[in-house]
Amino acid sequence: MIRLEHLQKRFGELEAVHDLSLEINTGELFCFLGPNGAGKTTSIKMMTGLVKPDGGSIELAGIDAAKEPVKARSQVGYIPDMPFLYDRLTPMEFMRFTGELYGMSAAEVAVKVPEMLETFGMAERAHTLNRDLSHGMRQRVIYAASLLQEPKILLVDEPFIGLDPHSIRLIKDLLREHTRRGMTVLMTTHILAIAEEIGDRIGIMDHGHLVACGTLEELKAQSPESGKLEDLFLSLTLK
Amino acid sequence: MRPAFLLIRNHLFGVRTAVMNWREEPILKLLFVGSFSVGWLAGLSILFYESFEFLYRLGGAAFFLIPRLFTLFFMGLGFMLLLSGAVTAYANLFQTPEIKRILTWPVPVRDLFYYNLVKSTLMSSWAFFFIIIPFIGAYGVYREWSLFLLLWSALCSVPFVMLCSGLGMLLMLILVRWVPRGRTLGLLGGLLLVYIGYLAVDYTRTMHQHQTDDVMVLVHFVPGMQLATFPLMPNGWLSKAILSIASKDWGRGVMYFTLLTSSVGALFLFLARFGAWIYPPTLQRQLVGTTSWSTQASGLSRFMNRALVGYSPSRAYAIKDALVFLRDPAQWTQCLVFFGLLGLYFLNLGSLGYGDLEPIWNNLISFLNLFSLSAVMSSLGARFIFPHMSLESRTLWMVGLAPTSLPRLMMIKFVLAGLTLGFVGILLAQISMSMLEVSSMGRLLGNVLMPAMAFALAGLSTGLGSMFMELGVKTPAQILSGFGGTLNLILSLLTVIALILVPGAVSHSITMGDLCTCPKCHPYAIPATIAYIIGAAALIGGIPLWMGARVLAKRDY
Repeated sequence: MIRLEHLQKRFGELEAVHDLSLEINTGELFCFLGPNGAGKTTSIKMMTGLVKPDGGSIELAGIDAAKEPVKARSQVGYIPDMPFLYDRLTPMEFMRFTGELYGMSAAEVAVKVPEMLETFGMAERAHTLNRDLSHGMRQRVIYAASLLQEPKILLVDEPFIGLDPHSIRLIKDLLREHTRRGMTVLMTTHILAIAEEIGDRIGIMDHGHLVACGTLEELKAQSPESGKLEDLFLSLTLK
Repeated sequence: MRPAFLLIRNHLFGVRTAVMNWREEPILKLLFVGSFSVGWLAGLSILFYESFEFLYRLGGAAFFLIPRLFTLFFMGLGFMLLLSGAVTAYANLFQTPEIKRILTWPVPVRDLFYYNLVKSTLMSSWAFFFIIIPFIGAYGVYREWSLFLLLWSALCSVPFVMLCSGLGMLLMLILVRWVPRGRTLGLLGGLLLVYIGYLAVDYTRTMHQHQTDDVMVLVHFVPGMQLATFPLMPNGWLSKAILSIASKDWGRGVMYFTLLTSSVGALFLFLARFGAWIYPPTLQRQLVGTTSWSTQASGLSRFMNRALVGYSPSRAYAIKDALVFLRDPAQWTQCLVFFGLLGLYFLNLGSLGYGDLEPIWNNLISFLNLFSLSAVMSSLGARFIFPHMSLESRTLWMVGLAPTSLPRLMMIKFVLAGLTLGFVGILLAQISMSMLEVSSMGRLLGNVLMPAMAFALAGLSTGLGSMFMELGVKTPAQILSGFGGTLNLILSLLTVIALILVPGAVSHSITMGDLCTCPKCHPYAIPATIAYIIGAAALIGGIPLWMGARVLAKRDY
């Protein structure tokens, strides 16, 4: 579960996030929508601890992120929009490195790494240097690494950029499957259709404010003329 | 206009813009680069001038020695240029993102090669004029040459520089195109190392056998002289072109100059044809040839996993850093240049005749030796350790969320850097001190100094690298050229001076008899010096680490 209360962040004059309060339940897939610069990524980065909030509180899987940052972080997997992979490591080496860094035992790594690579269809390319992989394959490696330590919460920033239909399908199925098993997923996207398709609830951010939040039906009800999420999104963010 | 010319013009515009925008660079960096350049040129000129003055004081021997020293000097430069040309050309032709971008434009691959031929020659050779100019300038000033003679000498060195750089490129192309990969490459590399070892042993053996004629006497003192004076070596042509004109032998001078320019012309014509022919398939081999690399990658990884015990984040970083380093030719070739120069240094150290010198010189040379080794360590720290934290910032999406906090990550980096630097420093110090047969006091101070130096330099570079962490930067060069990189370079050099000066001065005073360490006079002089080294190193390395950890814990990413 994720609980944000009165979360705030300023970068000089710019108020990136304003008084954000939000609760995302266990096993829920929450989609954050919003134009560029709305504060979605900053909100996610505050949850990961990479950006320090100016005010408010963050609770991740029941752990206060301010009081127990390391314990809170260990519950979270994070996938940014343009993640970096060491070009000169292979997927196998990168996964082993991740496992060792996250404190997994050698025996666990030996079992789980090949399993994850198999799950993501990367077993055959496990010993190819990352620089020789396609964008889609690199994304698969990143998902495999992020899910290796079985986090309770997954934060995903723009997961579908530059992916082919097979990879998009794989990731959508994966997110659904993991939420079914109790993982909480917070995902940002610009693709409204995907948010409509897989989001249990959708939040729309604009200029640091959460301007709308609810299930697809609830949001559609806020735009009674057309009943489309797109119209509501545009009407709320075109100011 | 041919696409190659357009690309060259575009590149030169870029260079011009970078030069014109010098005002945007940090003041500290400008001051450092400016004063370093002036200091370097002035210092080197004075050093060469004094050396020529000394040689001419020997009388007639100077007329025999100087032409040979010219050939030896240019041979050393030639080998460095060859290596520099090969590395630069490899990076330009196969590694830069620019190549992949240009390949999508309507530019024939042949033109892409011509463009990189010019670019690599310029990039790999310009810095060598910072060595050639003081050398020729010092000799010219000592011999009271006219301005024309000085300019002539500088002109003569241009085709030589181009020749060596072009040969480096040719060698690299042949290696990249035809040398097999994977295990066969490993086998060939092993055989090559064995052969180099055999040559080194053979060289040391023969060095002490032949002392019949003058050149052999010189061979005894100066390694490489036999090769340098081989008639087909272009370094000999250059020195003869310069010295012949200086002695008014115009015909001979112009002949050697023509020999150099025609050789350059022939080489570049050949490169333009041959290079343009083999470049496209070689580029394809580099872009798509992954299978053998992967096999090799997997073997290396297995070896590293078995070699390092103790399952922990530190081990994970050690393996990751080693693999990334060993698989990146741009990284390890720079290291090779460092150690190649050190190899030359050690070769010369062996023929110094240290044991025959007076104690005052023995003491000075032993500390100059430690200074040289520390300077190499500080260069390694500035080039390889400082950028690490900034480069690691790209993986914060994974590393930043790990239970290992960023200050702890910094400490892991520091320990790994300190151990590597310490290993290199202590090993080199042991070899050089044995070769020099340094006194027991010198050994004691050296053995304390080198680990302390490694600690201080690793702490400084890691701490400053964390304090001035640059997010999202992709290449070490971008990180090094910033304010933090320049500050680190300056402070590293000051650290070397601060740590060596005090023990050097104490040792000098003891050697000269000014400081007595007997129980009645100053029995604590040596322990106090050791305490100074350890205390100063702890402060120099510890404070930046402490500040770096604070910055890392507080900042946003």
